[in-house]
Amino acid sequence: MAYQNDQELDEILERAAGSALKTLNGMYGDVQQGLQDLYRRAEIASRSATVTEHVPVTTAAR
Amino acid sequence: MVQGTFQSPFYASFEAFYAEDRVRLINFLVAFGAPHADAEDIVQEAMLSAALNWETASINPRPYVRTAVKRIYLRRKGQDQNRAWAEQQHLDAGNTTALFDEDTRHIYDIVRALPEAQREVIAWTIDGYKPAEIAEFTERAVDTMYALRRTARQAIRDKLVEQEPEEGRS
Repeated sequence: MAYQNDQELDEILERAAGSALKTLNGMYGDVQQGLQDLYRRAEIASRSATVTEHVPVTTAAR
Repeated sequence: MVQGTFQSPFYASFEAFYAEDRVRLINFLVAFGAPHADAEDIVQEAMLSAALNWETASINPRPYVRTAVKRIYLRRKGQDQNRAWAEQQHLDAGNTTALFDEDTRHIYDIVRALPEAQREVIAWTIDGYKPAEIAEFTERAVDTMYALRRTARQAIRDKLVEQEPEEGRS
């Protein structure tokens, strides 16, 4: 058995994590696409915040 | 304009962090148990939070986003636990590890089947963190982190022995 002590077990876990990272990097490694999605989300969040801010003003004006 | 804000010099360091850590963060969340498609979306939500609070988040960004993805994932899981969607998520979870090669899938399936507290410690550990750091970031006792890591390691070891082919046993 190659996993009798903690160090050997940790090495197995690290190898698996490295391999998983490689696979996930192939799927999600496009940084520019990710950032564009983030800008879009930020704009949506920004608009929602604006709407929320205006609600009490409208209510107060009635 | 939001995009302009992101492109200011202040956010150049965020974008560098995003480029370096995004996929590692997805991997962290997959080890923690999330389906990969959900993990991507949750990571974007956590990264947005970090960007919008970069002055604070930039002090220690990696633990910041890891703590954020954990909270978002558990919140979503809690919201969905009574819906049929949760069942679909369970099925998707099996598809997540199917992306990996056989050895990696074997290990990730074992880790993702651990109790939540144990798999969290293992997710932090394979990401390079020590129990004292995990304790600090998760606001729990250092001794608890050592105990959880010990229990998790033993559970993984037991599972590996249990699943070892007969001919491999001496």
